[in-house]
Amino acid sequence: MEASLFRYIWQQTRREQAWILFVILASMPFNYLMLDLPKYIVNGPIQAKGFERATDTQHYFQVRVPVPPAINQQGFLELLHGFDLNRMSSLIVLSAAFLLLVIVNGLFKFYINTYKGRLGERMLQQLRYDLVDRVLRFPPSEHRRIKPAEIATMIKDEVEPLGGFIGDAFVQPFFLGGQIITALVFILTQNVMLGLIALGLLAVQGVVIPRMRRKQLVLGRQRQLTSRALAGRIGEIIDDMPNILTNDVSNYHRADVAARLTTIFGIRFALYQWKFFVKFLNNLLAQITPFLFYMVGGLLAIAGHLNIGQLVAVISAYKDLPSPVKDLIDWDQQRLDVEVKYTQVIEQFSVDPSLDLLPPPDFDGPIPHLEGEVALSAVTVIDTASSRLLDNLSVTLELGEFTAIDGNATSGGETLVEVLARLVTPDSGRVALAGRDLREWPSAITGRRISVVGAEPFFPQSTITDALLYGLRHRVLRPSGDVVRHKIIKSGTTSLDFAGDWVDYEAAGATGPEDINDRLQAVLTTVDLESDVVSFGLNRSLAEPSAAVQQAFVEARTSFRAKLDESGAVHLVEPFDPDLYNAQASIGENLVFGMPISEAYDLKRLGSNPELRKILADLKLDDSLYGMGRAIASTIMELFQGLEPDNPLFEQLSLMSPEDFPDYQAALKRVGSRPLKSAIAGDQAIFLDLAFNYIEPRDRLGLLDDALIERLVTARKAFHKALGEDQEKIAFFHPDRYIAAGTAKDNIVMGRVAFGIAEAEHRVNALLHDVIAERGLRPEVFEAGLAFNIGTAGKRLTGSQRQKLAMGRALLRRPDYLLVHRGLSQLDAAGQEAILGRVLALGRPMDGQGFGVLWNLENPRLGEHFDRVLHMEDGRVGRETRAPEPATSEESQHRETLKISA
Amino acid sequence: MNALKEDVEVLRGVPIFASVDAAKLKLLAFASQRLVFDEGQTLCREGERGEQAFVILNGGADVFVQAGDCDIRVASVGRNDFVGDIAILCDTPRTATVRASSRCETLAIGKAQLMGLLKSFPEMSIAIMRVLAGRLERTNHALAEAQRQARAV
Repeated sequence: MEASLFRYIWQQTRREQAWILFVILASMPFNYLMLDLPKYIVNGPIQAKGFERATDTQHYFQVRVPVPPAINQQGFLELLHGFDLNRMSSLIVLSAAFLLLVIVNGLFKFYINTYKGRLGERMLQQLRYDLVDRVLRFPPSEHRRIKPAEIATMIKDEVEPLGGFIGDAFVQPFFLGGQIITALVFILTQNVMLGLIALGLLAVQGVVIPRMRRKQLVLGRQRQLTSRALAGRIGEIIDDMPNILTNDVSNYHRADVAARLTTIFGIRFALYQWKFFVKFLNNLLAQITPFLFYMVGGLLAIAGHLNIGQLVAVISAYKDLPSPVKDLIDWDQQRLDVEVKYTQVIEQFSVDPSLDLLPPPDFDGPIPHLEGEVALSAVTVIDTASSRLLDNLSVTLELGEFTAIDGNATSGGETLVEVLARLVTPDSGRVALAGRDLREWPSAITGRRISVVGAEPFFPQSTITDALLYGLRHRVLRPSGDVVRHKIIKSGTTSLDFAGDWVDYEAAGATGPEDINDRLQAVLTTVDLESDVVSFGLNRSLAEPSAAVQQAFVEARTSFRAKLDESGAVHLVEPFDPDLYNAQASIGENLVFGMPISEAYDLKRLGSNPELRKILADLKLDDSLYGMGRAIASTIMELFQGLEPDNPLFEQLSLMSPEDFPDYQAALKRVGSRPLKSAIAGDQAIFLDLAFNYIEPRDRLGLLDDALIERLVTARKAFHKALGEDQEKIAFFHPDRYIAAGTAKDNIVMGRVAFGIAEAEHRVNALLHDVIAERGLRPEVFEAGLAFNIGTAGKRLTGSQRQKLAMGRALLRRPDYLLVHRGLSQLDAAGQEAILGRVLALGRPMDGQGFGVLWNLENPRLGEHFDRVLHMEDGRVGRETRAPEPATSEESQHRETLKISA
Repeated sequence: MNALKEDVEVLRGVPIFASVDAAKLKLLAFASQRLVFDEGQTLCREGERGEQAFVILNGGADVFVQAGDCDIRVASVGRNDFVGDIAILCDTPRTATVRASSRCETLAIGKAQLMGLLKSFPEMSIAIMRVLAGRLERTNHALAEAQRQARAV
């Protein structure tokens, strides 16, 4: 990037800057006229100069352009003849002309401000884009050096003032300078003396103030550096949270942050003081000038050297002077400030001069398949602590072969994988891929033909689908056709059509979005994650299921019941029956008996729902439920009395949280033993809500009897009747109705899994997997599961699920070569072997393109599946074992398949 | 029917809880979970980490200890018996496998819950200590007897 901010701005915005300068130039004559006109108004119609008699007229608006006498003997060309006006009309016309000029000048200002504001905003985004672009091109060795939090604040916050400045960079000095010169020239032409006074004071203002402000800049720079360091430190603290906890060092970190904040305060306070002192001085200087004008100008007018009109015009011209001068000084200050900021930011974004930035991916041709071999000759990699990770290693790997590396953490196996993945550049030696130096290969080819799986895969927050498709988004393949409203980022030849379809379906072996799910399913099956995805899907609601699918779900309920029956597990689930109370659901759920869609029916706040309350009141149920809530509250208060709120006994308490105890206690005290009607609305709701949350088998307080149950079912029916068949507010539970708001599981179970039965959830889930397979609903549920959000950095998945997902992502793109570094280390031995077997089978298919593998093994026993095992130690290959040569390749393939299916 | 009261009664029948006062037993019962195992289902498995102990309310279970490749049944337990307590009191892996021999209703007490109660009410710890000491004494007797018999052979 350009080292100088001005060069960067000029390079990016030449044309816009030139245009706006032109506009400013065009505005100047109008500005001058506006200054000039008051003189004529005051001297002419107001002071009656030239209108001594009532019938006198003056000639106005004559426009003559002086030309050489050769063209016109009179020495001028008359563009506008103008007209004669008497005193009154001339006052009106001249004032109207003044108003017109005010409007014209205002419009100029409006246009210029909008234009340069837009320019600044655009350049700010462009600068941010360029910075991110630069980070993306950092060589891998620089990755560890970057602190994410600092880079993020720089791109987000620190360049922000640059945006404001870019619009002003050239325009502001030109515009303000123009204004100042116009005003000065005007004053000088009126009276040289006054002009010189103005000029002198301006010079003082323009020289002294900026010098004083330099100090402000130094402080500003310190402020920026300390704030940035603070942001970095906070980022580190967040990353370090577990360590802080386990080492009990939180106070040390508090002290550290406090010390930094104190330093920042000191800098900011000094800055503040200095800033206002400079402001005071500036104001003083600005105010001295009018004093001199009144004084000197007044004397001149009295002596007759200056007429009143001129004095008024000069003073009004001067009135406009200080603000452009101040703005110009501000601009200069801002310039210094942002230049420093720019340099600092650019420094952070520059790499060690001995390293080259990566070229942007610019390979557009068809991507050839990789064939042949990778030859490493005398490759040495030295880490920052100068130990040799790879020590003079020479080895040749056939791209079609399965090679395993067996060695411990210091063996260099990981580094060998990283060298081939181009994440580490050798310090000496040569790596040749198919005879060509690895460094010379376009990253577009190695980045698409080689898949890399590490031990600790990272995933940005996304769905399972997006996580899998991640490795297929190289360039936009199907443009969106959207018209971009603001096309502001210049990116050279790179297409920025983010809304377009980037997924290279063909590389994954599909033809488009329609059949990619089959491939996703195949890949997830290979890595043993498919069933997990179906389980995710069971707990999600389907996106717009068709009527047929809805019907299938309703029918699946019957299969599910039959399956429960077959396996003698009917007691695991209590189905929803509109005529029966469901003991496994809360009282509130039994009343609403459906999925609330509208917020007003939120199960947590049912106690204040007027419709339900009315029905309960009609049936005289509200008093009983209110009493029940009170009984629950007092029982719990009594039971848990005297326990610390962090006591683990509270974990089993689902009806309330220990923090709410004081509220309940206060409410109990307020209502005493009085009935519902005498309690305030808030207390009524508190205790009703408590009762609504009650589930007998879970809470076991024995508060439900048959009579109450019957009344609750009556209330439910009355409630449904009152609401009608309204599915907009609540989706009622019904054996024959699909519930869009419910999950796939809800829709098949259509009931509640019973409390207190060992492994009930687990057994129900197993049955559900069978049911959806039988009913042909697996694809729908699988699809819903693909939309599962894996969370920040994939944290909603377990470690082994993340490893499997990373392996799936690597396989989906059908690479020519697969690099793995302990990619399945978090799985148990049986799981590792099963997945490894399936992955290798994909590498040598019966037909079609396979791939070679280099696998740094998590478990040396897995070596037997490979053609060749490199036993590495201290950065060298100690010895090497080869699988016995098979009789025929066909036979070996056959054997391989048998092993895998076993 | 008040299930909680019933649970309290059962807990009172369990020796280690016998001397604990009613209010605390009620709290323990409330903070525990009813858990039903079908015949053949496993309450706990030898070698695994234990998070719960079980008081058997109804039905019975067999206790197995692994010896080489086969499980040997070492005991049967029934109503009011407390199983799985060693793992949660000593923080060791399960020392035996317990499998329901018929439909078996239990009250499952979480490790954290039991520990929390012991911390808040030290007199409960003393009661448990007495019971465990009693058990140890019996085991010592049994060991001495076994050694005597072994020497006789």
